[in-house]
Amino acid sequence: MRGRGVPLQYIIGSQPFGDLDIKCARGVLIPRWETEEWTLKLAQLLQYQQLIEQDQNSSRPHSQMTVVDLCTGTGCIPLSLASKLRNTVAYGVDISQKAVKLFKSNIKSVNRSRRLDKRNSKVIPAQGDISIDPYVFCEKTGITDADIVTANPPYIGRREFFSQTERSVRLYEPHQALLGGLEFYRWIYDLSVHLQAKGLVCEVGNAGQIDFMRSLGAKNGWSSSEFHDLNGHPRAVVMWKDPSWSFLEAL
Amino acid sequence: MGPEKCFSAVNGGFETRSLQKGRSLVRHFQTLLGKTRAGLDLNQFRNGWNTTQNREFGVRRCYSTEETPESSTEVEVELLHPLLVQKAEQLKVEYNGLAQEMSSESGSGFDQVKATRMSRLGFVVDLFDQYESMEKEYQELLHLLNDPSLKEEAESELKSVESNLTALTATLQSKLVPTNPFVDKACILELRPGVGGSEAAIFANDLLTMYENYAIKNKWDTRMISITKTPAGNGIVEAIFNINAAGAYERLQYEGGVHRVQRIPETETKGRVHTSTAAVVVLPTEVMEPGADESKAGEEAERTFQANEVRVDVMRARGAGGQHVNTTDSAVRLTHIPSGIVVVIQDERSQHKNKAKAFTILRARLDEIERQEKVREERSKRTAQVTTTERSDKIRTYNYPQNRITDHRCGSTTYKLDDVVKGEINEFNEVVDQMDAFAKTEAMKQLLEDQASSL
Repeated sequence: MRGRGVPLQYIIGSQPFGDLDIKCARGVLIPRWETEEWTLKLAQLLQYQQLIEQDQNSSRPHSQMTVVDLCTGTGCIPLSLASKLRNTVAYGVDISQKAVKLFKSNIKSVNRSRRLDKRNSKVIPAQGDISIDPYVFCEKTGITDADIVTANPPYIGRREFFSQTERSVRLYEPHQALLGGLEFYRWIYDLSVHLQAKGLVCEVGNAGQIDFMRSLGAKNGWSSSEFHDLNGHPRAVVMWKDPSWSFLEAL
Repeated sequence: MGPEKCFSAVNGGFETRSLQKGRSLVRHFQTLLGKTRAGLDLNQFRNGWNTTQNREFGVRRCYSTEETPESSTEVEVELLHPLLVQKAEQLKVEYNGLAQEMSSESGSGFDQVKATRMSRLGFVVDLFDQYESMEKEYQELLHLLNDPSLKEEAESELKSVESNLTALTATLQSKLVPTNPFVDKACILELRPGVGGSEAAIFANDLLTMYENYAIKNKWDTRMISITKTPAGNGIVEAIFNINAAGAYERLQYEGGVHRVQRIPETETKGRVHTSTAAVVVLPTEVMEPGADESKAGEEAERTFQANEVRVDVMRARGAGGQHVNTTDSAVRLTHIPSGIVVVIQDERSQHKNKAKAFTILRARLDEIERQEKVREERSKRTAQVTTTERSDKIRTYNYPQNRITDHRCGSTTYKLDDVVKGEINEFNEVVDQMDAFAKTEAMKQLLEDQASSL
């Protein structure tokens, strides 16, 4: 099977992601190490921020944090954030039914060791289409607001798809999770504004997508920075509306 | 009077000889200091005593070949050096403080670090208390000697007290002399074959098995960090092995260096004895809590570096990356720019975990370099040339035909190679103890010398 290019993760059925072992199945994108890299860094930053907050107002109980992850796939991002942060509600939204099903089983397996409960965190799966009107989206998914929005949308252009992707990716991974363009970034941005998110971290495939996001945000007073992966490729765009969230710049 | 056995093995055989040697050195320095309290003249000590080795039991005994004058009131006991007494008292104060703390904050839970420290101190403090009471007894007996009516009784009593006191002093001394600051640490062992081709790889594997067995028999938590086998599968190209137990470093710290083997290799067809080598590196690391995941340790190690100090490379880093490729190759290479040390880890499926492991190893290697530098610096301050415990080239020879292991640093030999190589605790400990005693003697020598020069 490997000879035919079937990804190892589909055969074994899992892929490590940070400390977690994320289940993988055909029809759902396999988590990439680049995503792992920025997610773990983000988790660390937020963790640190929670500690500082706790120091400042030790009398009050932990303030709750809401994370909304769009195009979540296996759910690796909300799961790994929620398993590291306290008092966190992490929503994961995907359009694909297969993905949501896998996501649910991943929540179960991650919480088997009560990783999430111990931290008073919750991960909530939802099926939803981010291209529809934000009001309808919120009604359907039950999400009302967010502190931070994360996303790993499909970002490979049609032409790139045939010239630059690996054969095994092209043949075995869902096109729905791979093929996409700037429209996804616009939807994500609009939703973040609607949810009154203070921060936004979004994975990208090239510098053009970063520029697009930054220019969208700049009009409405969002500050932004870029994240480069270990290979030096531009990998994520980091934006924050609230000046108190400027710690995201350290990503 | 025939040869009188007056010093028998107290500390598991091997230590005795070295301690004996050590004591003579201490005496030497005490003489230098003009602080000799009582006892034999150094030369008399040297000439009058012979050491013989009982090979069968691996025990050295000391016999006096000179007649002891029966009416001698000269006492042949040596007491703890005043500096060491001072140190022991300090430790006692610390122990009492800790004990109080532990009992007062019993509600806040059990502090592993403090408890370990306390149990270690407790051992020394216990010995010191024994020593103090015995010394008092000893002084009283000396007084009694002046009383003619009680003299005989006192003398017979003195004999047993003397030997006990001597033994106690020796043990205390070896405990009090400054030890490697990493003794409480866990350790990482790195093994690589040296000269000798596939036989060297097989020998490196044998060493690995020895350490693994020793760790398992000690009920230490072990974990293979990275292992590369030779194509034949019976040797190793490299192995990195973690023993996650407090005190593991204390036992294995002398293993670092080149180990030489002399035997007829499995690969030899004509029955000739070959000599090959394997190199062992011992690195101290922090003990991880059993529940803690290793990536956390790696993250902590990562935080000790400056941002630009380490270059991180991921393997097969071509193309656009991200969603475009799905790599199962998770190798990570770290390059520590100031020192040029490179660490490559590739045996976990998760890149994140590989990176964490690599950072742990890099940190450990740098710590070890730093420690060696410190030791070297201290040593260079000394004028006297002494044999060192440093990982000089060849540290130990394993001679299979003779079933012999010789440690070249302390010059000790044991004929129980088969058991040592199996990692049997007692036999392995014997080898370590011998080296330990030697190293401690050296350290004590330096301590006393430094004190002397600062006075």
